[in-house]
Amino acid sequence: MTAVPLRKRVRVKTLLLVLLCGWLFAAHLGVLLQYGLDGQSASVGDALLARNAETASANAVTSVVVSYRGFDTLGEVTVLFLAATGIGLFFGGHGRAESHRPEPPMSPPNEMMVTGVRLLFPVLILLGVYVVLHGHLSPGGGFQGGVIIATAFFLRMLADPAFRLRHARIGLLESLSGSGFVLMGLLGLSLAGTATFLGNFLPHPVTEMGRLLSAGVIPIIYALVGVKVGAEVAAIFGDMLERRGQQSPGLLGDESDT
Amino acid sequence: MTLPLTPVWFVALPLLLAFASPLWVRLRLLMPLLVGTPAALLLLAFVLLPEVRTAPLLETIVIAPPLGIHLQLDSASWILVALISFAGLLTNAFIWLADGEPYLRDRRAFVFLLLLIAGCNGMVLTGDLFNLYVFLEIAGVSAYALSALRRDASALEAGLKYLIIGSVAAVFFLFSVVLVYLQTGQLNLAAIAVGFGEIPGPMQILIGLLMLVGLGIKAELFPFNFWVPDIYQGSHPAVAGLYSGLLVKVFLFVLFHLVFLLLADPKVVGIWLMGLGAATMLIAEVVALRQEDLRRMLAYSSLGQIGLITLALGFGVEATTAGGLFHMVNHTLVKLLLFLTAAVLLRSFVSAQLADLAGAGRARPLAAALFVLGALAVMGLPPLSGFASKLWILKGFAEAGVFWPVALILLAALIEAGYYFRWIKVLYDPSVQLQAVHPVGRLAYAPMAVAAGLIILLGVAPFLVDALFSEGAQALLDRGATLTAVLGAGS
Repeated sequence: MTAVPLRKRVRVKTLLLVLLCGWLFAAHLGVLLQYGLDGQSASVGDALLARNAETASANAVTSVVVSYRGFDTLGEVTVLFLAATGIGLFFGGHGRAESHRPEPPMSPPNEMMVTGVRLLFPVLILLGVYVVLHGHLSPGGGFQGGVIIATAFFLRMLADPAFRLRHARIGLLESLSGSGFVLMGLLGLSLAGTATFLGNFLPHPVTEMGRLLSAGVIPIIYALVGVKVGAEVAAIFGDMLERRGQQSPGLLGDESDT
Repeated sequence: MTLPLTPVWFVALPLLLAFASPLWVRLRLLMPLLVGTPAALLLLAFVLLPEVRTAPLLETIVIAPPLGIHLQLDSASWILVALISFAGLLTNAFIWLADGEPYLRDRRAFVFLLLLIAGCNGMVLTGDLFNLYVFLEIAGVSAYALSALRRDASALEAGLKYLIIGSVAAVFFLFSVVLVYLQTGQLNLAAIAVGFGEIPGPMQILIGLLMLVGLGIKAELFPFNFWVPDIYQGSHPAVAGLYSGLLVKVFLFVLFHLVFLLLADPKVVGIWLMGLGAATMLIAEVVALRQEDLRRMLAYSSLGQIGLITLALGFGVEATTAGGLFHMVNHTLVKLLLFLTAAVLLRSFVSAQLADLAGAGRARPLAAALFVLGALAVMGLPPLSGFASKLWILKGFAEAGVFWPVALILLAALIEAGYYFRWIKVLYDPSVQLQAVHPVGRLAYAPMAVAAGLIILLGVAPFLVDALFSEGAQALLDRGATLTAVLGAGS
């Protein structure tokens, strides 16, 4: 083409890109400062808050997340599932035996860490379960509780070199809870009383609001979300943490998908 | 207790089957389900078709439209949903029947392929802006993973590039969603459309620009499409066919759906989009002339056709819009055919470089013949479907008395003829005796034959589908009808 060396052409492009981004950013900020500050008087959020009693969920955020916009939540759980599957594919070490980089030996965790985690593990699991099950009553829910449970397993993995995640079992939990979520939605669709996907087909009288057993399907779906998120995040931690050299094929070569 | 057939199945069925994938591995049902799911969805689409043609199907999810999420299946989105299912069916059937690369046939590929279909269906069907973003992410993340499946250097490069550029696009789109919610307090598309005019002008431009960058990257429009050829080259050709045939079409549809629904006068941005489309078309076609790799050449050719469709849809007149939708379908069929022949050639001869494929027409006569058919259809030669849709678009422009797009489209077709004949000439080079390295099963040609048959059928008898595409164009353009259908007569 031209006599200009490639390096220079690339730099011009980068400069133009930076200028464009800078201009966009400045425009964004300018318009935001001028017009974005006067908040909206009436939004969908307010309308949903006003109607919250009909779900009988004491936590209005949960009734939006699990019921009114449960379809979005199903999608978000799916994105997390995709991410976990992708990380399992690229970091999980299946079929990457050909790269023989010497791994530094993992030093054994010290006694403080082992004892501390041993004490902390059941407490964290209990806290996670509590946060999941009280999602419709208090701040928290499936996503938060699931991550707490996954963290408990993460600590176990750090503190106990002999501890291995059973990937097959995790995968089974993940698929059961995910399918359960969709099936709950389809049950709502098929029952005449609700007749919409993710409809709340269990009785949810307002008088029960604030009890553990209230709000119909909301706690059930949130518990499924909790199991799914916990399993996925734990699987991500596991894939990132486990070293190729330590993997025994019996535990990880689970799905005969090699 | 009944199981009503509603649009939500287009999303729920692939999700359910993808989540339950460990079970299918154990039951050895993975491959039948991979093909069966899009087939079932296609069947469902045809069951719903008579209902859709009388009135658009609206499905409420949990709570009625202005507050909650709803799915909308009208003639326009029906065309896309049927196209998605059909493209998925052909590609998955090829993956099963060609008995090839094991990485495309394991559980994870199954999950990614089904969720790509689910995400695309969701994007086309949803009537809610944030829900659209969620499905955009689902389709995006499955596409990133799909392009890196092979896990060698070029596949990982493609996957990483796609991940970065796709995430940037998603962030741009998310910003625009946030701004829309801040300004109107609504997330339902119809409700936003009612309130959009009251947003201050500069804010409207900012929102539009953010959406254009986000969706423009995803839909591979001109200034944002520099990344495309690398990804098409690094991915397996069957997967690249899905990107070109399915994913890009869905993003284009979403872009124009938003333009036609949100703006009271789409003409304001239509001319800009036409400009982008024309630039995309011409630049891509010219660059395609110099490509030495079959996959890159097809990628640039795909970009050229995307530009043509953008040019047609941006004009916003019923004839060009209907022609544009028709061309979307044709281009999907053609690019699936071409990318699947590329997959066969790549497997047979290990390389997809122009120099290494000289004389391939003798060693793989069927694949080369199908390539020629596809090439002729892209150029728009008479008995094939590309001719029918290009003619429709050109007629639309001519009737409106606007002739510069006509000239550009004809020029682009000429350039196309130039590079496709260059490849055909090399494929049938008589001086080289080329031996196929790897065998390809006869069954692998079945999905390609189906695509080729449809290309000929739609070219010979375009009147079979004329009415459907006209209805689709009307549904896409008629803003008032959509608003009334969703929000009730009072709006």
